[in-house]
Amino acid sequence: MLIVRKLAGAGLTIFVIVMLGFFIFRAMPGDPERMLIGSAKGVTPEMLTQIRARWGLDRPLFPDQFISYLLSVARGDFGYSFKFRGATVLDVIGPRVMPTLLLVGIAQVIAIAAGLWIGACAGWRPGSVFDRLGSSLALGAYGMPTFWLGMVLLIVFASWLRWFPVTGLANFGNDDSIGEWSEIIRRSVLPIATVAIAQTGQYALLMRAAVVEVSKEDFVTTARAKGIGSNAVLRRHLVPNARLPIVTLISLNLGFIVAGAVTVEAVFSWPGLGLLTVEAMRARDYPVLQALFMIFAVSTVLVNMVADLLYTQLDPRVSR
Amino acid sequence: MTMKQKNRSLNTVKLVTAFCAVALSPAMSIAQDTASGVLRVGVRQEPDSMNPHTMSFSISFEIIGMIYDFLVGKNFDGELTNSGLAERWVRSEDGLKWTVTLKPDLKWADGSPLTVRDVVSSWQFVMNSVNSGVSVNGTSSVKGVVKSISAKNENTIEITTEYPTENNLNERHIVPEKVWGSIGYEKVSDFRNPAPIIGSGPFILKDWAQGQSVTLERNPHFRGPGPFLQEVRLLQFANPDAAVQALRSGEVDYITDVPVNQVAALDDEPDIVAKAFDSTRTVYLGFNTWSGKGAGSTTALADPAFRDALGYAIDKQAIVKKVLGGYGTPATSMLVPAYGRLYPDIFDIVRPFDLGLAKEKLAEAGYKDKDGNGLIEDKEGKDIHLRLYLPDVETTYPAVAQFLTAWFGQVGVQVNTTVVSEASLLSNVQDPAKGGGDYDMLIWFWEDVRPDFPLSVLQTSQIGGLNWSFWSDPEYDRMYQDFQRAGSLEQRAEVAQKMVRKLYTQGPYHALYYPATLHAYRTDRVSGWPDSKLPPLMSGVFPNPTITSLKINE
Repeated sequence: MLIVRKLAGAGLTIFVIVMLGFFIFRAMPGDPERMLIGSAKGVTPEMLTQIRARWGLDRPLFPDQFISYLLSVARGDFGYSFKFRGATVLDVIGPRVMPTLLLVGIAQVIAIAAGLWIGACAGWRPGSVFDRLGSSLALGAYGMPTFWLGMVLLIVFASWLRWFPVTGLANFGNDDSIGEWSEIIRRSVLPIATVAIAQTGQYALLMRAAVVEVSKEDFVTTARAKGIGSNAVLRRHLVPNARLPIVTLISLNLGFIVAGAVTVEAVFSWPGLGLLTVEAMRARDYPVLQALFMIFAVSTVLVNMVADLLYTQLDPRVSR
Repeated sequence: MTMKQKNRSLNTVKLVTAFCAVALSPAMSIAQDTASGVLRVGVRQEPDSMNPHTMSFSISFEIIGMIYDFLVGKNFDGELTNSGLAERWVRSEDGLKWTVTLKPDLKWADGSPLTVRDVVSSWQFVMNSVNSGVSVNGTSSVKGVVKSISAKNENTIEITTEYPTENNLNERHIVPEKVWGSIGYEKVSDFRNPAPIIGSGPFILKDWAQGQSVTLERNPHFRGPGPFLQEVRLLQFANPDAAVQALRSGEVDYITDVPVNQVAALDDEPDIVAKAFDSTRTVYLGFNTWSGKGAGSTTALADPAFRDALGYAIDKQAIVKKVLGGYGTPATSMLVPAYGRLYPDIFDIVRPFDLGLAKEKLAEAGYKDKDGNGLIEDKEGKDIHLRLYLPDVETTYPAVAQFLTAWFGQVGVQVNTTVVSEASLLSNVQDPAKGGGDYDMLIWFWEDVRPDFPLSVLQTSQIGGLNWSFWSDPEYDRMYQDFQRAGSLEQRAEVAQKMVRKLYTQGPYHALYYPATLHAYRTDRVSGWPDSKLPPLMSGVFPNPTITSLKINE
């Protein structure tokens, strides 16, 4: 029953997003045909009329354009990119998905593992050297602007030490050899490290706070009084009870996996969805923006729905 | 599954398995990056299309210019040269017919012969587009200009024009009929022209990884001389500072669009040259000169004397020095120095920066501060407050606006600046009859490698199109026709000068400055960099004379 309720809620949210997707992009200032040509050369009023007809902009917004939009979305057809002439929106977005999943996915796994470990250890012994050092670094990492961190890593490790390349995932590999694989990894290290460091701080701080909070509970005192070892208390009693807020944060962050780390992708010229969003906004590529908006919104809704369902498994009180 | 899709899938598998299979190793070799014969260029812009009929970004023109040829070449001074496909081109006595002879043994990059049929079909596709209802690149330049084209014999072509003109000879990419013959007008806008793109220029398009890079490979059948590079890779950098670091570390050999604050530091580095080159961009202050619905906030804007007087309150030298860090030139007109002989000499009428004189001129034209509140009034007795709009795409415009606000304020004109999205500004400059107007001044730019373009936008027929100041002058319109019909470069230069003088005195736009384009390159790995006023790439000169002379050092 809960699953049905959650699915219905997610479905309704997605429908509202689809509606918003239509109206938001049409409420933006300026005429769409003007955006189609930007400040292109030699444009005449006749050409503008031609463009309106070609893109269906000469038909009434409601119901013609709206119905056509709904049917297209239902078919997964977002039309053609304004910027990349002749390319469908899915052609443009498709190749950008994997680099983003790779970047943010791996960075999240590293950040979750490192952040939870640092947070749990720091929270278990508050005030210790590890806690003070770990918390300070975590706070620093959390507070640091991501683009700045990216630039620092880039200058130190790519420009000065020359351990890693500056260029993102650009096509340097020439053949299908192990050499190309190693190139891909080398080019991924700095961007992944940037996202991972920034995210680690967030997880560490939250985990520390949760562990400190739970460690004051009676059942922890009882466990200690029973003579259970420190590590076992931490592993069996503290962490399981501290994981609810962490699941919330993970689910929120996973929702943004698809949206990508926009600033990191821009700093490292990483060809993912975040950079595509920036480029599409700069080029006023509304069909692409509209599709990205849908993808980001729907993925966030779906991940949150999964997190909600997971909650009920972790804490049965939630489903009551 | 297409080859491109297969490659994409393969890359995807590689991306995932690479992380599972290979341990991180920071000391891995970068030998691949420095493979001999590869010029690596860091660029900011990404091409929009590889279809020469529909592309619109300048980087697309640059890339396509390395793949396809024009019939006749052009040099940095705008003169026609034999660097294109034609060996010679001879005009008939009445000036209405060109007889063009192709170079012998021309070949496409796949080794097949390039014939007069390819040339004729390439031209006819654009010419017939005039009546097809589809506009492609070049439709407007052949309309009413080129009458016919035909093959006279196996290596000679005859082109007939409506009036004597040498325009068009350096404007149309010659594409292989065997590829483009089946692309009709209904398909042309959706045709992406996938790799490999075979042309007759020095390079073949090998691969375009969207959002990442464009790889060009040497055309083994290019007529020469050069190219001496096996490959050219254009790597897209979303972050200009990262591009600078990549040049410093030797990951790329050449970068365009160097940030202003990095030029001097880069130039101090050993083996790197960073310098300012001429561009074809003019940044201007435009006025809404319209009267009636869509007019500006004061009738003074429609008065040439008012606009002229404000011209004396603009210190273009100071703008170039303080806003551009000196990387630019004060502008006199919409025609840039990079147009060579078409850059007009109008220095005898250039206004000096003189706030006192500006005030005097305003008073002479009837704009005085009669009520003593510090602001001059228009002829209806209303204080003049001007709304200045800036598009949000350029970071230097707000600084320029601050200077203008201060100077105009000193002559009694208050300026209120608003930064708006490009889309919003485009709706302001559309046809006043359709809701356009509702602005007083704007700062924006025009940029085109062809001098016809900046002159064309001020025609009356462009109101509702690109004439964003809504300025109209029948004499100017006539002069533009004369410019189009001028038979030689000298005649064109003469007409252009008259047009520019008219524009300068009428002042629908005040051209503010020509920003330099800042490029940097490594001299330790690559040689053959030219010492010209135009940059090695993105010069707007086709075929590009630099790309065929660059060599990777042994």
